[in-house]
Amino acid sequence: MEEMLRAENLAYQYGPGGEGAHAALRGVNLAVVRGEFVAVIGHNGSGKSTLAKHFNALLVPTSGTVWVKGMKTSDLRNLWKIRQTVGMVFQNPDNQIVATTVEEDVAFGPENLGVPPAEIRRRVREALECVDMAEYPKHAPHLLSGGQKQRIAIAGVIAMRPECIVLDEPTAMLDPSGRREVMRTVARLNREEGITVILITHFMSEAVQADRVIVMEAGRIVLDGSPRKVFSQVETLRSLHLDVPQVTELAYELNRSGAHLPPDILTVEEFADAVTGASGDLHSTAGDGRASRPGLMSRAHGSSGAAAGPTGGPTCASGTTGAAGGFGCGSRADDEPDGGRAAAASCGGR
Amino acid sequence: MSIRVEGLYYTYNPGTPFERAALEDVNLDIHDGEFIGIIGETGSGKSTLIQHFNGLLKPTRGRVLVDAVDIWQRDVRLKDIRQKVGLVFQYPEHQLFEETVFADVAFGPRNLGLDEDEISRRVRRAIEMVGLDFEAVRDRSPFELSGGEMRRAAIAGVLAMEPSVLVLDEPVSGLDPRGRDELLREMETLHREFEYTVVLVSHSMEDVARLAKRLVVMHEGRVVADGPVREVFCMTDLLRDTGLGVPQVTELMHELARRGKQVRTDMLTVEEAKAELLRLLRSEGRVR
Repeated sequence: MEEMLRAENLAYQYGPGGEGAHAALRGVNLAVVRGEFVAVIGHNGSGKSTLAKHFNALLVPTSGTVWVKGMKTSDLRNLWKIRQTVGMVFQNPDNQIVATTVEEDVAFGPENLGVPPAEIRRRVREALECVDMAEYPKHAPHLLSGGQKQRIAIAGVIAMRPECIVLDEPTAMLDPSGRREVMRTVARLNREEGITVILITHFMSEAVQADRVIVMEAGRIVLDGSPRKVFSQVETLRSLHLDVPQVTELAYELNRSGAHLPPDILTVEEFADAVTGASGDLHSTAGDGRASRPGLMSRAHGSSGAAAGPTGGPTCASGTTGAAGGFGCGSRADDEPDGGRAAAASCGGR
Repeated sequence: MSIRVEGLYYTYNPGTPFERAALEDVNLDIHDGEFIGIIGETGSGKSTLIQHFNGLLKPTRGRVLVDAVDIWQRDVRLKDIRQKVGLVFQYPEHQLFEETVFADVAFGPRNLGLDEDEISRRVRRAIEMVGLDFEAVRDRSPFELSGGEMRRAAIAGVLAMEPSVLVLDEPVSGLDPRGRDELLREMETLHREFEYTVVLVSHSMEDVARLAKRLVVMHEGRVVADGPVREVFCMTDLLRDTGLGVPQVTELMHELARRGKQVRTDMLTVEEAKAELLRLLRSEGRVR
């Protein structure tokens, strides 16, 4: 499995030494392999964004080392190559628009790379198709919706042909439909284009779509694993003031009152399967039980399904998992071209 | 204090190629002491609507009445209306500008021409109402505060005008879960203890479900649903069609009902769903 990003004993301090200094990262160790989809969560000030900025050398470590595809970020000679390898998308779409038409905006990156004009046109077209904005090349970006603007920003990054994209709360300022558009785009880039994705987010419904979730607190990684494994730590996440999906919290609460539900439920369907399946009506969970319904948080059915296998413990420990487990793996098989990748990725990477 | 909207139409850029109807025949009554949530997708007309509540926008057609007085009558001073109806925009912290939190919050009252004692009283009260420590923040630059604190300082600036209705446009968007929970708690306190009429514009069904008693759903410039939160959340098809969805636990109860379980579907929060499911599991002998 080829390594995309690695951080070793990464520490970063804002400001000069002494009084004004603020240690934002305090010894982060992390490896991300090619093709992984990693979500990073944690409250404000936990170090998420500082970590993200190390992945394309916007920041270099105060101590410790970060490598991008084996290139040290602290070595200035690697800078251009690193910035081409890892693209960044930020929170506010308005701050990322540089041109007066969509196609010019997307062309900005490749132009700066010195790509020949014919090739730029091709890349712009492809990038816009990738984010579902092919109909808008001549539009003025400032008249688009937030979700559209953010997808233009993503297209601008894609046109530079990065192998990895780091998105720092790309949906924080968007409405629900804008969030869905952006998340669909991100998931597709990961699955179909094989682009490694690091997604920083406050929305747990987005984090559960990743292969792997990393939780940061006070400049350190405190949890790292599949969404199923991480979100079943309801107590820990609560103490860190983070959300868990409502159904996960509900299962946890019911179990505290004596129920025996799988502790790692992430979606409405899994919950319903656990309740109906164990009472003997398993047949009712078959067939269209998973027909996707666009409820607010019910899109919480990410790649996590595939993770049930390798991380397995909690799912299999309970008697009701026939339905829950089967549903997860079965339904994922068709849109997971490389099961091996997903499985390896969801083990935690190290 | 009440707000009444009658047959309201609003068109942006009328008579130009950019003409766009944002509101069409909106009728709405907001009663004294209510906590109302307004939900709808971007472009549904929510923000256009609330800017009519204090006369920032003038209806293309229709009327807006505050305490039964048409605010566009000639003898009404809009300045008075704007003091009564406090409007907190999206990302209000972008409007912070003074050197200290005190000066920033004092800006509005000072423009009312109040004396210094009254200004001080109002500033202290407003800052404490949003849950900030007055002594700790008064002399600090608003830009040194955390994101959640900045937003609360900005809201204090509106509260210092001592309005009787507080209208908030997406007050928690962009905050992290902790900042969001703290701010929502403050909103609830303002409503309960200080008896504010609160209008909360939000995308988040979970937040609205937790706080509002009544819910107004906007879609393509019209009010498509208006009623108690519990009833509106039962209209799952409508909410889905308007791109909104319902809280995950509500979705779950509907799914269980669809699969033949005898459960109430109008559960809005984790606590409510827990009680209902415990009842179900006990009746099935799966929990003692």
